[in-house]
Amino acid sequence: MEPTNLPKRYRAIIADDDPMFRYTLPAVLQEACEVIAEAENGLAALEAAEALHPDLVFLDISMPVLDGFQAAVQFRRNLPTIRIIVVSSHSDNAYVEEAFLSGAQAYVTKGSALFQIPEAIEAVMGGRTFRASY
Amino acid sequence: MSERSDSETHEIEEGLRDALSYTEAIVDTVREPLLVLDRELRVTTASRAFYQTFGVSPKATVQQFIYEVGNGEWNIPDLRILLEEVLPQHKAFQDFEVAHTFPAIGRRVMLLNARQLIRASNNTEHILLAIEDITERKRISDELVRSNEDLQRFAYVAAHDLRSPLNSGLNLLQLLARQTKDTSHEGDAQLLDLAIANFRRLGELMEAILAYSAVENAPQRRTVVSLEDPLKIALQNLQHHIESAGATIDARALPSVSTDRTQMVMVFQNLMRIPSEVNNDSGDVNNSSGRM
Repeated sequence: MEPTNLPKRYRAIIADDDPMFRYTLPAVLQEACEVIAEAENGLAALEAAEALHPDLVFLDISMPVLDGFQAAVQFRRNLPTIRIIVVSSHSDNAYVEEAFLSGAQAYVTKGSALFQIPEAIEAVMGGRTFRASY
Repeated sequence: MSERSDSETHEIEEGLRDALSYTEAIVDTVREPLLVLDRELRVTTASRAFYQTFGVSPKATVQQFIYEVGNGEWNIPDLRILLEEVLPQHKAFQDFEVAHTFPAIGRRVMLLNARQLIRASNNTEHILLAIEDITERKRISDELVRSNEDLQRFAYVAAHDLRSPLNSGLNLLQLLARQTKDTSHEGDAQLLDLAIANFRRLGELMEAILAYSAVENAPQRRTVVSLEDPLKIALQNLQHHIESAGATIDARALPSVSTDRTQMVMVFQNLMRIPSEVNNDSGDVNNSSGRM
């Protein structure tokens, strides 16, 4: 179910080493988010976030240089106001648990669950956590 | 006290030689290498299979101390444990695995069966030691295990690497379906739906391969969890928000329950949304305290 009354378009950064996914996600986000930057790894995402102060960041897990878990820990430590939504191909509970323990507020798997991202955005921007069901 | 006559002594000796020949014939027929040791651990008899398998001569074997057979190559620590500690206590054992590198024949893995044979009539004690060479069998078994592990790893990596382009393809098709929902021909929409269904099916197959090959793939894990642990994690995650709101969290002693730890972290974070009131006239935000 997609939310119908999002108050504004949130400013977001996408961090994923897959260029095809960085191309696809903005199309899914178009009504909910303005993508202000893209990053190929967690470190680039942190640097972009420090410069641009987004509302939220979409983090992949398996990225070079700094993976999603390590980036989430850094975000929580240094940029705690930025909401983190982990978007990953991994559906194992171990990854989900690690994501939340690292400081993410939402977890969405790539594939069919991707279209639950608007729900995830509404949840995390409202201060709640979210895990996509699939 | 009567003494035996020479003829009686000769008969007894003949009988013993016959018995020995009979026993040796049986021992030599058995496929596995066999050794018979006396109570001092000297070899009294060795089978033909022993000589052939381990490349030693009868001269270097019979009447030799077991650990000195074949220039000391049977001085194996595990064999010592077997003969000097295990056997005296248990009288017999089976499938005692020993691995050793022999100078002439290389590394061998052996299963040893041993039994103490005690003859009460003349208070003699012997040890029958049967040796099964399982080197080749173990090599094949280890290779099979390694091969299975390699296949599992390959299946996992392949399925994982294929998942990314698969998900991208699926997402793009789903986007296309949404964007053309009102403008496409019915036939085109059906084709798109068919393509999406096939991609989803591929995804399910990929997940099945991953589940089969993954080392760990636990479903939702319920364990006994002290609720103070997920509460602590939730407080860490919300630290900034709590401080910004000027809120205080008073946590009393919490019990341990059977639950999923991750779920409880989420529950606590959701429950600790800082309650707030907005003054509609002034736009000021007031924080109020709430109890859980």
